[in-house]
Amino acid sequence: MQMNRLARGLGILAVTVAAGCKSLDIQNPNAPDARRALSDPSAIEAVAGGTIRTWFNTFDACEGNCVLAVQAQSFTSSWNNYNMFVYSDYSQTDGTRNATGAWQNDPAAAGRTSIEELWTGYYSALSSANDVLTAIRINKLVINNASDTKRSETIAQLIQGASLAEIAMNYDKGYIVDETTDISTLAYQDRKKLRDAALAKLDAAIALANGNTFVTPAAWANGNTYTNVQIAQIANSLAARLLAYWPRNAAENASVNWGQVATYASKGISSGAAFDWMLIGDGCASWCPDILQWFDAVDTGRIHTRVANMMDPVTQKTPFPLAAGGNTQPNSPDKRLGNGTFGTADMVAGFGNIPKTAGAGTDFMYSTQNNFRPSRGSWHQSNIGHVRYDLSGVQDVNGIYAAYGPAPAFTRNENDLLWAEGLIRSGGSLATAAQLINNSRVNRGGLPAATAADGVNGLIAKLQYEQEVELPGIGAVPFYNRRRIDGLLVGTPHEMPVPAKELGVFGQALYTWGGGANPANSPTPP
Amino acid sequence: MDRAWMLRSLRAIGAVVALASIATVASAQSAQFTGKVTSSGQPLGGASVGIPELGVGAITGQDGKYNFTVEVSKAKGLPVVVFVRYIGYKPKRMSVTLEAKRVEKDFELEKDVLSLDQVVVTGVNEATSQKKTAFSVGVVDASQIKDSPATSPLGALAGKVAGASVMTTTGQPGAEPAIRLRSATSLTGRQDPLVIVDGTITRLGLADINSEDIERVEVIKGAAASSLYGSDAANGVVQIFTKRGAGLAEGQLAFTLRNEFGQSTLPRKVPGNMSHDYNLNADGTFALDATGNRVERDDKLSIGAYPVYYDQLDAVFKPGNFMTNYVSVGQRRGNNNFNASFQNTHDAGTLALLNGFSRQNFRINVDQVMNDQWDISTGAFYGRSHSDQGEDHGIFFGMKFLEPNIDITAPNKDGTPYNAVIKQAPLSGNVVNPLYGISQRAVFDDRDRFTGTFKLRYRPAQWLTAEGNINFDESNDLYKSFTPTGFLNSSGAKSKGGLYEQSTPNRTYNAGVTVTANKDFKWFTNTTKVAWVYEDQLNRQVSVNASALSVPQVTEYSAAAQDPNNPIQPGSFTQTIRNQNFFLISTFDIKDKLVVDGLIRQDQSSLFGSESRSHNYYRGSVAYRLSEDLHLPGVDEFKLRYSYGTAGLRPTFDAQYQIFSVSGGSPQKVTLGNPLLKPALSKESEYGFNINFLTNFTFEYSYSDKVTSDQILKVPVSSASGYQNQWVNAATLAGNTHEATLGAVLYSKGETFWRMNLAADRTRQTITAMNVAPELVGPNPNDGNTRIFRIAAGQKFGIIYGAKWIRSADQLATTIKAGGLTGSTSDYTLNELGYYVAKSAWQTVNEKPLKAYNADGSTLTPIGDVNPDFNLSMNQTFQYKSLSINGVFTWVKGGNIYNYTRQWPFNEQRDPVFDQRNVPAGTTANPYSGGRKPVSYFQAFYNNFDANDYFVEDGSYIRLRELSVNYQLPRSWVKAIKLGDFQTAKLGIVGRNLWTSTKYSGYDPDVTGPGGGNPFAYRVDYFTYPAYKTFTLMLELGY
Repeated sequence: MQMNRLARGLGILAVTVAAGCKSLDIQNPNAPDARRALSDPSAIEAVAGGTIRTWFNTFDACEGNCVLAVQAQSFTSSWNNYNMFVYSDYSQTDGTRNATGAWQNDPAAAGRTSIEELWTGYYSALSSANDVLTAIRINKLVINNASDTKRSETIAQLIQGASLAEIAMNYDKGYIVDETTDISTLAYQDRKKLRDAALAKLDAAIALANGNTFVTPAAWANGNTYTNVQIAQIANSLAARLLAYWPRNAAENASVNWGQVATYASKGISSGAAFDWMLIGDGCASWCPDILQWFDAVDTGRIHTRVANMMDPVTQKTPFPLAAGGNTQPNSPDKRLGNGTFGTADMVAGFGNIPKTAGAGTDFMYSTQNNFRPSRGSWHQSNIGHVRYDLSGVQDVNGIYAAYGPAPAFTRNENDLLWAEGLIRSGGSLATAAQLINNSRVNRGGLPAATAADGVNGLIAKLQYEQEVELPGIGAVPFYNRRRIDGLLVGTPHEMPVPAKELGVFGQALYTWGGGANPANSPTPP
Repeated sequence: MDRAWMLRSLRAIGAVVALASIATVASAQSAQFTGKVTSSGQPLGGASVGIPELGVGAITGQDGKYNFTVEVSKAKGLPVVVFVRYIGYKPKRMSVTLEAKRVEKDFELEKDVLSLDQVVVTGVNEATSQKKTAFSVGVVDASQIKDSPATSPLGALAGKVAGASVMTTTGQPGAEPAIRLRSATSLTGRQDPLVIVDGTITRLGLADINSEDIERVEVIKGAAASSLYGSDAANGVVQIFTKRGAGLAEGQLAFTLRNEFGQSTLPRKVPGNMSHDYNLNADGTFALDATGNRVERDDKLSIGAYPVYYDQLDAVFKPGNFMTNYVSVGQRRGNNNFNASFQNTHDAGTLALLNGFSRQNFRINVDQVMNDQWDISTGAFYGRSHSDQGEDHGIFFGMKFLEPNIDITAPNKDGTPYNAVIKQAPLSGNVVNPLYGISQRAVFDDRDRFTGTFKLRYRPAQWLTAEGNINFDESNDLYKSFTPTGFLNSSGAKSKGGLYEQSTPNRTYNAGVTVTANKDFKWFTNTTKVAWVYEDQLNRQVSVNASALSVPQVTEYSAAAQDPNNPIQPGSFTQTIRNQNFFLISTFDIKDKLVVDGLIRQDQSSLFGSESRSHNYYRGSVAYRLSEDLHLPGVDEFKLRYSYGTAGLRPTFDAQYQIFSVSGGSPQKVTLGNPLLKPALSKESEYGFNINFLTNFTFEYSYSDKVTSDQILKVPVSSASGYQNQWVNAATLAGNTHEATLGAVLYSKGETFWRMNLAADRTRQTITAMNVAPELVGPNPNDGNTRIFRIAAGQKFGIIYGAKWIRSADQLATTIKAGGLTGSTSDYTLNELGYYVAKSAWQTVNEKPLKAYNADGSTLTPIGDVNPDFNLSMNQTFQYKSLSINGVFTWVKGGNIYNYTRQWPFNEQRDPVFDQRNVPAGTTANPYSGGRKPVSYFQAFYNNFDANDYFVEDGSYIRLRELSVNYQLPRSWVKAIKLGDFQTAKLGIVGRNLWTSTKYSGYDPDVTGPGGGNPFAYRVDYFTYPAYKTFTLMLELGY
């Protein structure tokens, strides 16, 4: 009897409680998995569009790229955010800074993160591109219709090439992976093979873009749209950039097929209906021109005195340390700097600007303020800030660049310069080259025109001036240009090793480049 | 029979208490028991007197008298034992043969001042005397809490349980501390034990619960004891029991009113550099260059006095009010008892302009006996709290960069309070006027908490008990941060304002059914329990962020700017977690001296990988009361014990899933899923003994050997996969702990009583295996700055990794050999501060410390170890007549802290070490010859904010953690001052963290890193709200 009552009591309780019990198999409602993210046509289309964003956010990431910019002595920073300070001046051997300049490719080193971002970011973009192509080419997924499907396929193909290109430009070796690769059998390929694979993918993207007609949705570039023709131009420009910027030193630079560079560039974004490949920042919510957040804001980064001095040798001395007070207000013949005035009186307290007058420059400003004590390193902090992409006065009179608005991935002027260099170095038309250089030199800088009479060396000098003044803030482009003419300080690494984090996954030995104890880069692959 | 008495008496306490009135129903063939229970001649109300094996008994009234009857036939002619028990007193027993007559018997109970007969329920089959537990169970009861109750229950454990480390993660008023029991079980996660409050498996923290309500806290410290709780118990279990009316005398109405009022103050102030290295004009003002910047002295010596000084710390840190009011009412009457309480807390903390933390708690516990087979226990708790917070203003960071000539109390240009634009050349982007931030911004955290408990007990037979329980716990947290439009930064730039609100409604419930059988056999007693436990948890969060406002002083989203560049951003997540567990535990008590115990448990959890849904745990333990066989002189009780058990650590919600982030509308790979993900598995052996000797002494020693494998780590995967990381089971962490507790009654005579408890522990821990690459980790996985703790196979756990400065000849030689320095050792010399410098630079403006190199050319090496050598606490209780004094001292010996709060200001010369005014001046020709160093010398230690041994500090301290002095007012005084019918009135003082002795240079050595990571292993000082002390006056009234 007692047992019956026990059974009855427990039974009631068990039934009551069991009624509240549910399955232990719980789907994560907060984020999709591969099944949800990669099987639906509209999701795959979103992935295709997202590859552009991932690529751009990596191209403009401050982590990694900001260090390359300061290593190039294009920008400077005495802050050590993103390890900029520690990697920025190898001449200091006082025991307080990195005396060797080698990449800190050690999982225990704080500086390790500078060589991780580009690796993980570009492979992330590449992986997504591969997922799109797997869905379309292998799984035969149709996105709405044939045209939309081809549009996604073309963009994925473009980003495949663009991502591999960046790996080839930045790392000594890497994986060549596409939609046909079994990633369980990964093997490193040298940087030359990476370059060639990237070029092949960009060629394929050009063919696809030329063979189809489409317009990319605005959401894919945060408001900007691109036609298939423009996509082909972008791919051509990226191919020219890859070939021209890939060399690690002057010797490799001399071996570039400059005729091929000119050919690609001639079909690039400054050809035909020229345009700038500008992507739109949204304050880093999703689209993040991070590099400009640091270097288009004078309180976090400045243009290097080396570059400032090129624009106005009279007032902008280089290098630091200078006499107390720093350099005085500029009076540059280059309209991009002009008299250095900028902004309004409201900003003076915050940024030390001289309010804008008629002689203001378009790209650079002068600040009376220096954020750092000389003992911290103001010797490499100039008085000139880069404000070309700043929208203060449009968005917020008191703010300075806040990662909103157009940010460059590739400007028509950069394509002109590549085109010009291709012509100059391959024996092409110097007159055409001079004209291409003048597109920025004269039209933007207001400087005397370059002409064929300048000859190869004269044109190269003027072209390199334009590279220094026109291209800061465009990813790590200034670094590549300094690298390939042996313009980097001795000890500066010329490429990145495979990050320790990746090596650690497979238990591979750590290694690095640069500094006194290591070569600057890997040998030129055969 | 003897063994049966012991076990059954313990087991049946609850039943006897519950049946108190029912059992008094007489019949013709009944024996009637009556009498009085006293202690020191005074009646003892609330004591239980009964015959547990027959399930009959009574509770004494306030006059100490009891009365119950029992049918003679129930005893079947055999002798039975009348058992008398009252918590805090040594039990008594009397063997009788039942006859139909009246038995009158008085009992005199003796205080159990050393808690030798304490009964515990955590980790064991059922209520068990400490004399028979096979593992260590720490107990803190109300008597140890009541005089200086901590704001948080976990704080109440500090210094009272050996092997329990309690650490302040933030001094923010109302924040709960972190606790770790014995050695670490997790490399990267927190070490929080499983917390159970009145049967509620709580996942929502203990910050809402007040200590005054606690009747008892039981602590088991590792898998050797906690296997019973399965896959979430490797960190140990803390079980809290709140006060009920069951302990009251029959018919008694108990009332307590307790008030504390006092102040919280910062234990110490840490000033900055009060000097500078700039040139001055003749009038004492700073000399400025053409662009308005100050001009640095050529000798770079920080020896200049500022033209004016302000006491900024005094303006920012203000003593804040601390107040608690507690009222409790309890009654026991017949089949019912209840206890209800209300507590009000207000703790303003130590920051000016903030109100701090306030909380109101209500609790009621009710027990009801339905009949001789059924009874129920219920409880309800509701708490609400509000805090305005000081953490989110950059206060503790920004103020470290203030130069002392800045008047932070001055108004702004527009007359509004607290000068925000405080820049002075050279600029600092880090400097902040904390008063401006506090006064202009608002950061609130409001919480509501409801807990409901229900337990149904059924006893169909004397040997069989069934229980069912349902426990519900809900927390609603609303965090709100408001920054007004026009908020100024230190440069004078105006902010667009912002509003962020985050709502976190979480709820959890657990339900369970247990059936317990208890049988006496010829030479042993067996207790066996089977159980089913179900847990269901739902965590949710919704947040909205407006990063620009268009209307001033409107704190709702109607003020949000409709700006496409500053869109309003929503966020949310939902986490459902379910667990279903079964266990079987069986205990054999053999001849009252050998206790053997075994259990097996299976846990199934939605947190485990989909292909790894169920895991098993087990335990075997034995206790041998050696003193039952071997009588040693002076030894009253000697128990040897050993226990081995396994328990787990569950993965976090996200860990098993393959995760794509959705950014800008497109999915992107983040985490590679792991369907095979298992809980970490902790295996612990615990050896120990307990010895009670010379009547007044008790000693407990335990050694824990713990190995936790299958560590759940988030590790990188090949980037070629597109994913960033994956959670895997990848490492093994081993630890051992020695712990000892000594209790002693040092003096007990007449009205004088002096008792002391010492608790000590020492822990060592090593990563014995790790099948992924070594990595650096830290308290905040999202903050690269503090990732300075290296985890690697074969390495001690808790190692700080960084660079060293050359301080020895060996380091110098190695550095030169490794190529880190040129020349020979004779080119370098030891300077006045104990650092090697270049001989050519010594006593010049170029003097710098030198980085030490390892033989392999690297500079990174272990530079510190956070593990203390040992912890020791001393708990003293002294009573003389109406005066009682309680004090808890804690001593943490050793263990390093990495002091980032000191390192960062080195960048801007703000540390006091820069001040050379008290260093002997050199000659005119050489201003450094007396030992003064230029600012650039000390700035070298900043080291780009990378870790180095200059900032590794000894975290040792001795602290008077608790002090209470109470005086019980004579009854005549109570009446004289018209305090009515209160029978007791106590007046006292209470101090918390009153006195600390330490060499640590920060605010307080009880500090650890922010961010929620492992606070014990990743000890950094990182601009957090410092722990503070409180001193209050107390008045308690009761009857």
